[in-house]
Amino acid sequence: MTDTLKLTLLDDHCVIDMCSEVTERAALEIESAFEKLFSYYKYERAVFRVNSPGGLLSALRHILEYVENWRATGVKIETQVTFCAASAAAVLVSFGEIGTRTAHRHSSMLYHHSRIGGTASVITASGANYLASLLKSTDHGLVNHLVSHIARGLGGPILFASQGEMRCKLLATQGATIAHKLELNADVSSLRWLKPTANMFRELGKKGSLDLYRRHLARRMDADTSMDLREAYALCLIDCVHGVPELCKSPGAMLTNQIDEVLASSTPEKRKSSNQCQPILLADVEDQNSAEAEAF
Amino acid sequence: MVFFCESKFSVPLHSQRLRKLVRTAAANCARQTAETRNLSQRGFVVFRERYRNAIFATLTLNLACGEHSRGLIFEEYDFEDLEFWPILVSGWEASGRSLTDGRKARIRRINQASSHCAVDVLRSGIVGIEKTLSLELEIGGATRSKADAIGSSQSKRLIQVPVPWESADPDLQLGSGGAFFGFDALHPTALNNTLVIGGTGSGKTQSVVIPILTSMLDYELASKKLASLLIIDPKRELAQVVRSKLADRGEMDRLVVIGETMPVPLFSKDSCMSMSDRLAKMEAFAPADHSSSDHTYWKNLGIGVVRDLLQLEWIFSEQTGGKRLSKLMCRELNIPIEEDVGYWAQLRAILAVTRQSKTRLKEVDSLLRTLCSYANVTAMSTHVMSVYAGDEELMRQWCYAVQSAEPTINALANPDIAQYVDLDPIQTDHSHHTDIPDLLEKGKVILFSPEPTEGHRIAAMAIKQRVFESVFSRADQHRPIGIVIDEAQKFVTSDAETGEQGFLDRCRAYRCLVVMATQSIASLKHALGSNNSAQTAVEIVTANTPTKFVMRTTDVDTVNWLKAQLPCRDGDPHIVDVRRPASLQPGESYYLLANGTWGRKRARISGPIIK
Repeated sequence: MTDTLKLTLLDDHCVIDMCSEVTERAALEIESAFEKLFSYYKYERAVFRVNSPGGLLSALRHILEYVENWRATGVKIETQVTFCAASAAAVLVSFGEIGTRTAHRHSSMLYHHSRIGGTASVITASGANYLASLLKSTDHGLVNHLVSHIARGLGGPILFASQGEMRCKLLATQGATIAHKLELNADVSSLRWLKPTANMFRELGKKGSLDLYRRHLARRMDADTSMDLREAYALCLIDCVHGVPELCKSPGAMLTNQIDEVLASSTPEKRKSSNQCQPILLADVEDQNSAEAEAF
Repeated sequence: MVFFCESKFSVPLHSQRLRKLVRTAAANCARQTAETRNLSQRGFVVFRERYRNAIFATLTLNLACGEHSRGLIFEEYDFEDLEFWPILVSGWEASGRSLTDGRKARIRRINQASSHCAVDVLRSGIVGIEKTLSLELEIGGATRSKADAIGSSQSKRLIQVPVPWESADPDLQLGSGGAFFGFDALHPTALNNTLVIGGTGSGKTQSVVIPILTSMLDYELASKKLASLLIIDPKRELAQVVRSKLADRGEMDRLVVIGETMPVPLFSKDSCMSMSDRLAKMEAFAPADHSSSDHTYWKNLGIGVVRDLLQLEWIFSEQTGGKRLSKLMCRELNIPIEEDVGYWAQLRAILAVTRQSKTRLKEVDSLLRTLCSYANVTAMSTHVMSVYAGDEELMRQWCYAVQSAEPTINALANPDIAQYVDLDPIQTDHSHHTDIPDLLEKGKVILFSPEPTEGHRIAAMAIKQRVFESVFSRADQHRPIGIVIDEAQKFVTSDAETGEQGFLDRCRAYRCLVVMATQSIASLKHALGSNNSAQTAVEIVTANTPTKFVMRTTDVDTVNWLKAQLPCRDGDPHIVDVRRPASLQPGESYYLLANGTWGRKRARISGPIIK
């Protein structure tokens, strides 16, 4: 245990509490903690609880690299927002195991693009142009990476779109109940963003391309404002909000049902008769995933 | 009866000196005759035996007349005088069933100094001696020469040169998608000697034992040789898997079910094990000893008696071409016992007689020594009972000792065992037995599902030991052998030759995979007893099982043992302290493979694996 991290070792899983900025030191400590928890203690499930205002992009990348590496060995890293997850921390939370990314109902999240911090040196026009292109490239890469992770975790673009649509439908039908449980006032509880989001997922389902989602998410990050937990849920950036049972529907179960439906309707006759999004087989999903990954 | 003379006249019939004289004289007579008649070696042996019998009987007759006459014999006759013996012997032989007057006179002259030795007493003695001679001839007629014994020992099968696993040998296929704790296939060396520990319901059978068992049933070398297997399945969980798997493969002819076959002999006819080793091996079948050191003393004493008697039995059998001392003793003692009950039941009955009274002990002692002398058995152990027949205190000690050895003898005399295993320490005929080495040579799958009785437990231990022994002596060392023992704590033994602690360290080189599933380390300790050697045996067993799976358990011994097995990081609490074995899910396990890999995973296996 350090000032930055607190480790709780339980019988079947461990908990990593991070209450600091995402700094290089924190990244190294997380790397070390991962090594200890997964290599020595052989945990296959870790809950990464984040309470951070954000931090350095380089540190985030370092952490994400280790998260990916350990995930490849079969480890599941679940993420939780305890109080606040902004900027790099919010991205870190969204990179958690799909289906287990949670937030508390009073948590706040902020997704935005990377920025230049500090005023130690004078920035020239050419330097500013260079930094701008660098940031753009970085943002593009990070968003692509995040989208790819989410889409892969949800079973491919089609199932991802279907999942997003279902979430939007849930918010549309039970919005008042959910807003009440989130203790939101009438102004904030308005769901102005819901219709564009639902439309985006509908289009995504039809076209099967993740570019729509990428552009939508990029625009949302451009806004540089705190994100409503419902919106994060709708965008599949988180999967559950503690204290709001309606927002804790198991995406896994939903996903399974969808796959079952897809498989059930995969006979030629049913394919013809189906008016919904084109049914696909799991193999198709994998093909699409790999195509997406190559594109990324 | 044999001891008629002794009990009637209270004169010791046999002494070391007397026997020595008889042997020397008989040999001299025979040599002389052989030289004059130009006899072969066999002829020499026959003559020597005839002379020996005759001389012995005559001397016994004389000794029966009193201590005084013995001195006369020694003074009057020169045993080295070769002229004397042929005359005496031919006279005796000529007498048939009654002595001629001349011979009577001769005997009378021999005993002339013995005033209290009446002729009718002599006649009574002669009747007894004739019976004795008859029995002696029955024994002595079949005695074998030392050369014969040596010749037979040369046919013993020795330990073969091992053929260890090679890297080119195929892997054991354990599942797909990392179902077996993250592995799909493992080389046999990685699963070398597997110990699976876990409480009831921890999933040790389903998660570990069955996948390895099925992979062994499927295992086939490039040379198309299938593995031979022994499966001890007290819970009846493996039998169904084995049958289904073999049926699926169309190899039901590989299955040999113990109980549906002839009994398995614990010792082979040509085994080179000493009687002490054999007894030590069988001693392991007795219930574990948890008693005080005082009892241990008496038990050791009692086992020592049994060992001496066993040694005599063996020498007697060797000398007489397979005749059994215990059987003859039961017959002569008129013990109402069936002849085919086996050695241990006969021994139990004989020892029971000795405990009745000092007189009975003396009687049995005398019979034992008489029979041994007839068979030319000169071992010191012929006096095993003599030392206790001195007074009441010694008699009590004898009773304590025999009583302390009784649990072992009773266990071995258990009639339930006979259907499955022949525990006779001296095997002379294997025509009515199941030949385990032969089954192993042919790639058979030997299945034994013992009932929860003591007899079945012993039978399982015996079969296991027989297989252990055969692993080293089989001719085809290329064929892999798998030994799968569920609930191993019930069948573990610690004898020097084939106890697990002695077997496991060697079997790797002999292409033998052992899988032992047990409840806990504590149960192993309990099974092997509380003495130091048993404790050490447990440590050796665990040390020689480099592949370990520890499933859910609350046993403190197991947890501490596991803690010692797994590495520790400086400054961090031990993994076993953090992730307690008691919290493991069914099918989840700490594992250490023989190749050094360790971890904690859950096998993705649900329900019985049939195919």
